[in-house]
Amino acid sequence: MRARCCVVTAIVLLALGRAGQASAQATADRDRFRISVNGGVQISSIAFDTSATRVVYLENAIIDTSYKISRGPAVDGGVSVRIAGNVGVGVTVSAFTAKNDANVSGAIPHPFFFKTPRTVTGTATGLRRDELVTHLLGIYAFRPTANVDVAVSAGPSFFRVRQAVVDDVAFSDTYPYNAPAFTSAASQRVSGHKTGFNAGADIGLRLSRHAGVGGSVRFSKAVVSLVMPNSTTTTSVDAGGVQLAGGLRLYF
Amino acid sequence: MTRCWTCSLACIALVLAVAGLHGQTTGSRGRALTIVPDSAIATRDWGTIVDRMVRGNELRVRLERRDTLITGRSVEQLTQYYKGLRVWGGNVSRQFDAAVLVSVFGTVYQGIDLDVAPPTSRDAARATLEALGGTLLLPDSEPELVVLPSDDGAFTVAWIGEVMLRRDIVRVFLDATSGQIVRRYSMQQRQAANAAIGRGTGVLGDDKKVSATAVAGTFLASDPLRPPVIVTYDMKGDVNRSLNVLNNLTPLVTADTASSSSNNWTDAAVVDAHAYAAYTYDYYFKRFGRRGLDNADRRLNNMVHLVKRNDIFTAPADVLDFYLNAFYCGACAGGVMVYGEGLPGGVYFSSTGQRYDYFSGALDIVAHELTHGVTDYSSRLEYVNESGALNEAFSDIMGTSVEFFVQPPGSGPMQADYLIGEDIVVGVTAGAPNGIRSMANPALFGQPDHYSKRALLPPDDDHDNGGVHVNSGIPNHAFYLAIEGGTNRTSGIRVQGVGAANREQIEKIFYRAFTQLMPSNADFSMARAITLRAAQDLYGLNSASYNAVRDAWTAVGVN
Repeated sequence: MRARCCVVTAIVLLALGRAGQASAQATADRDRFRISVNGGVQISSIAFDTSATRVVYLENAIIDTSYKISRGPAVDGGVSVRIAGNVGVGVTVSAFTAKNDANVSGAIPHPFFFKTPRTVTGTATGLRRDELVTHLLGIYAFRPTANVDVAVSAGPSFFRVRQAVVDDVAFSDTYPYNAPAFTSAASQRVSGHKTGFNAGADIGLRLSRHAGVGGSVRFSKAVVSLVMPNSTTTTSVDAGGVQLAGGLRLYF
Repeated sequence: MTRCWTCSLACIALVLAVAGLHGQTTGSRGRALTIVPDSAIATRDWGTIVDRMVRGNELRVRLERRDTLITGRSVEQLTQYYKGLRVWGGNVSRQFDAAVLVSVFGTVYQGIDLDVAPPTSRDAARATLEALGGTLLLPDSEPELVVLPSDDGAFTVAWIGEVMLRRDIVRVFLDATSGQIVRRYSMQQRQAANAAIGRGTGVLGDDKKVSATAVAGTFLASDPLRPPVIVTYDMKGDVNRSLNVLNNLTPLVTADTASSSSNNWTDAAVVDAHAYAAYTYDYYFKRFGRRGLDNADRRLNNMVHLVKRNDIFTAPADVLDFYLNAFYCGACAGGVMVYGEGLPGGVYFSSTGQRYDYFSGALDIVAHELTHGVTDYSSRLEYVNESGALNEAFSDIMGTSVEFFVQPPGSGPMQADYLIGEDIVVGVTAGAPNGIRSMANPALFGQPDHYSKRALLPPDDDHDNGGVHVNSGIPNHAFYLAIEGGTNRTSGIRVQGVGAANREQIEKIFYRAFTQLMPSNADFSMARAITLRAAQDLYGLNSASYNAVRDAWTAVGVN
C-alpha cells in the first residue's frame, strides 16, 4: 500500500514537471521576481576562546574557556529581482543555531594564601549560538536549460551573533583546598554585530510555471566582537561558514 | 646514657611477682625497668612481658590509634597501674603491624609494695591545692591518687593535682600520708560560620588572608574553613579578666573574640596568631595526616593582648609572662595558646640587646606552642628533666619544620631557618643575635650541643624543671644534623645529613617517634632508640635517613 503511494506521487511530480517545462519555456524570460525558502545545514570550524574574571577569596579567579562551533541547522528566505538581462539584486535572511560544549579551565585563588591559584577544569555543555544574517546580493542569473535556473551571487552580509559564554564556574572546595572539583559552568548570552561578506550559487529546477525546487551553497564570513559579561574585555569571534540548503523556489 | 636494656622472661616474672603485695603508703622500694629492646628477640620478650601485664591489669591501654604514616600499623599507649592507681611515669608504647608486635618502648616499675588506702582524703588534698592556687578547683580538676616513684627507688602514694597560679600552672604531688608537697613543677609549656575571607596585616607588615566568620554585620576571628574551630581571642589588655579566664573562673565568651567591622584586619597580633595557628594545623594535616592537637580536631584557642604593652613598666612581676613569653596551657579555658605582648616600641633589653615584638608574629613560636598541645595528647612527655627537654625539643623541631613548610628558606624576616623566634626577638645593638635558640649552633644562646655539656639542675620550677629549655639544645641539634649534616662542635663527629630536599623524611621520623612510639618518661637515650625505630619503620634499616639520625645522635653524645 505504501509502495503504491510512493509510485503514484512520483508519477504526479513527473507529470507536473513535464507540463512545467513546456510552459516555462514560453514564459521564463518574463520572470522578474524570485522567492526562495531553504532549510539546510551550516558547516563551519569556528574556534575561539574567552576569559572571564570574578573575585574569589579576595583575588581574581580567571576562567578560560575554549569553544568550537562545528555545524548546525540553518534556514533562510529571500527575494531577488531581475533588473536588466541576467543581472539582478536580492536580499536573503538566514538563521543558524547550534549548541556546543566548551572546555573550561579556571585558576581559582586559594582561600588561605595570596598568589597561590589552583586549577579547575571541566566541560560547559549546551552553549547556544545564534547567527542571524542579512545578505545583500548582487546576482548574475542564467538558464542553461529550459527548466533550470542558475544564479551566482555575492555581496555584503550583516551579521548579528548571540553566543552563550562562560562567565563563572561552580566548584566544590574542601579542606585542605589543594584541588577544587569542577561542578558546573555558568554562562550568559552576549551579542555583537558586524558586516561581513557572502558569495554563493543557487540552482533551481522549475516544476511548473511559478514553482520549483532548488539548492544553494553560500559562504559567508565576518569577525564579530563580543563583550564579556560584566566586563569591558572583548573577544573576537568568527561568524558564518558554508551553508548548504535546499527548498522551494517561486517565480513571478 | 649508655643504657641498652634487654630483658628476659625472668625480669617479667620478677615484675609480676612483686605485684599484689601489701605494705605501707610510703617507703616501698623497687626499681624502674627501662624498655629499649635492641633486637627482634628482645622486642619479642618484652612483648610477652607486656602482654602478661596487660592481662594482669597492671598495664591498661590509654590510647590506641591507627598509624597515619604506615598503612596497617597501629600504636598503643599503655599506663601502668598498681592496685587500681596509676603508677606515675609507668608507661609503655607498642607498635603493631596488624597483630604482630613491631616495637615496644617504655618504663615499668617493679618492686612496688604499698598500702594504697590514703590516710588523707580527696577533700583534704583539694583544700591544700586550692589554698596553694588561691582559687577553687573545677570539677574536672579533682585530685587523683597515684603511685609516685622517686629516683632513689622509693614509692609514695600521692595526690596529684594541677593548680593555676598567677604566673604559672604547676603540677603538685601531695604525700597522701603527710599531706606535704613532695614534688612540684611547672606545667606551663612555654616559649621561654559563615566563611568570610578577610585581609590582614601581620606583625612584620605582611599581607595575609584571614579566615573569619561573618556574624550580624561584623567579622569574628573564628576560622570556619578548617576542620577544627580556630578562634583568636583579644583580651584587650584586661589583665584581671585574662587571669580569671586562665584560672577557669570566667569562661571565654563571644565578646572576647577578636573582631573587625570591615574584615580588614589591622591588629597584627590577632592576624598572626589566627593565621599561624591555622598554618600549623595545615602542616600537621598535610605532612602527617594528623588532625590537630588530639588528632580529632580539637578546638584551637589563641589569646592575645592579655596586658597592655605600655603597662609593662608598672606591671607586677607575676604577669611578665604575658609580655615576654608564649605558652600553651591545656588546663586553661579548655586549652589555650597564650602569646605575649612584647615590649613597647624603642624598648629593648640592655643585657641581650634584643627587642621583643608580639610573640604571635613568629610562626615557629606559634607552632612550638601548639606542638605542646600535640605532645599533651600523644606522648605526654613529662615536663621535667630529660623528658621535659625532649618535650621542648619536639616543639622546637616542629616549630622549625612548620617554618620550612610555609616559608621560603633564608635568613631574613619570614624566612625559614634553624633559629627559634628570630622574627620577633630582634637584636638591635651591635652583635646582638636574632632569636632565642639556635638548632644549628645551640651554644650561640647558651645551650649545650653535646650530652657531656648538659645542664644538671634540680627538677623544680625554680630551675627550669631541670633545665628543659637548656638541654633541649641537644636533641634540637641532632635533628638539625640529621637534615643538614655537619660537624658537632664538641665531639668533632661529622654527620652526613639527608639534605634539605629530604627534610620531610627526618620530620616524619621525629613526628612518628615523638607522637606514637614515645612513652611519657623517655630520656635522651630512649629517644635515640625510638627515633631509630621510627626511621627503620618508615625508610628501612640502614637507609640514608636511618643512618643520618643514628649518626646525629652519636655526634651529640647520645648513645
